[in-house]
Amino acid sequence: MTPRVLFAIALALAVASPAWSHHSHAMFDHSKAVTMEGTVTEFVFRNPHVFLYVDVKGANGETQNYWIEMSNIPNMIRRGIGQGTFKAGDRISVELYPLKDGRPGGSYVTITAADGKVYQ
Amino acid sequence: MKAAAFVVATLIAGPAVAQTTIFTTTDFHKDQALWTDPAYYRNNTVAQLRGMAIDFDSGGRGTGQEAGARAYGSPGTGKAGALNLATPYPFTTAWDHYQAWLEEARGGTKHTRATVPDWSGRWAGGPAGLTGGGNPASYVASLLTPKYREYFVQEVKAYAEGRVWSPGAFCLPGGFFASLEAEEFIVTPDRVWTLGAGNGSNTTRWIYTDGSGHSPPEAEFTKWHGESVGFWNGDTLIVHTNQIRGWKGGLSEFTDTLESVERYRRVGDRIEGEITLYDPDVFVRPIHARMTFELDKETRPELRPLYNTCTDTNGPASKVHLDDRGLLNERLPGDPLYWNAADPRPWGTYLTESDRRYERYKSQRR
Repeated sequence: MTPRVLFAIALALAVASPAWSHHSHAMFDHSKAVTMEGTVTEFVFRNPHVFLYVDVKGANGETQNYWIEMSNIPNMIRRGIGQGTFKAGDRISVELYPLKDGRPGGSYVTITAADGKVYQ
Repeated sequence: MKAAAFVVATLIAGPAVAQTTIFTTTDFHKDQALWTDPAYYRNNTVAQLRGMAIDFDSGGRGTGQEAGARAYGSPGTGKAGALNLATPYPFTTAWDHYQAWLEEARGGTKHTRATVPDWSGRWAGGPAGLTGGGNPASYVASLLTPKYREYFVQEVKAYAEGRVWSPGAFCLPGGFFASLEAEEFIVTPDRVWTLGAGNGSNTTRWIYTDGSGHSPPEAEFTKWHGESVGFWNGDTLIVHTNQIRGWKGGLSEFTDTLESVERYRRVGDRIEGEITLYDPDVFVRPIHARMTFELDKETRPELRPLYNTCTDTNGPASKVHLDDRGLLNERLPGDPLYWNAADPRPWGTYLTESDRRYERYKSQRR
């Protein structure tokens, strides 16, 4: 993509309403990013949102399946994330903004893959 | 003596009362006189207000939106006149505007396949400032009629508090303004198609340049992207669109009476254009914006436009559901999660109920 096009897109985003954003992220608590380790159970590489599901063992020993919302496919591709980046069974570490209502889920910030590579 | 008089006057006047703002008001409906005052929004632009998302449980310290996030209630940097959206044209209707340009073009240029302009390639762009973004919220409010000004204030207030209603959140169509962000122009002598591909939806416009004109009045009906006809003036395309379904988008919500006149011309690696919007129910005067599309020469194959559907990851509409008997069923009026397709302002229904619940929630938490 040319710098001019990137500039045009940046300009469009700067003046655009959140129409391009699928929904508000107000449901996530952006005041505290939390990091958790777990095992991938499913990776859904689809628009308009890519989702990652991860089994995380809590302090009480119980495992909860976390729903982790990511961005759209073009954004994922630009960040080096593809359909095969995460697979069921992978041990990963996820930094996320948790859901405010306490349910197991959040909006990802970074993901550290099994090979140590960090995705933003 | 003067000092004593000042002290007495101050004691009589009492402490200074801070001006009511969109962040402190207890009932924004009563603030009509302040809606066009920059101080009411603490000089924030529309984009800056949308970038806030109060986290009520953290006492308003948290911010939410992922782009341009900023603290709730913080002062903005709005500059009056940052983007002039007033029409430079004397016309009061879109049709008069279109006819004047058609007359100027002496009936229009008839192209052949050999002479039709080459607008091939992938483009990125759209209207500048039509979402209100960089303009002070007070300026945008001043462009709207009282009823739509009130709707606008209700919406930006809710957005600043993280209470967002967007068509995309419900997998509903983006409406006319979403169709203006074309990525491809397919140009033929008789017709121009514009195509767009969002991550949750696709847009298509058909612009008839064959002289066939609009549908007859008895066959008119509103459509998500309206009905577009056009003509060429040399290498410039002029478009008139009517029968647009009232929805939300652009500066505010709009009605079924919205009509537009657009003009596009390729200049090197750009398509430069403009749009004038006529909706007397909503705008105090017609709105005008520049449109710019930049040619993207280096599109990677994996980033080509796609067919997308919002429901792919968001699921089907909540109105259709699996009932207690295990049968596919539809929710009816009065049922929880019923979706009223006839509601012309579903966001208004949402915001009014949201205002009520949010105030109750805040009062319970205090």
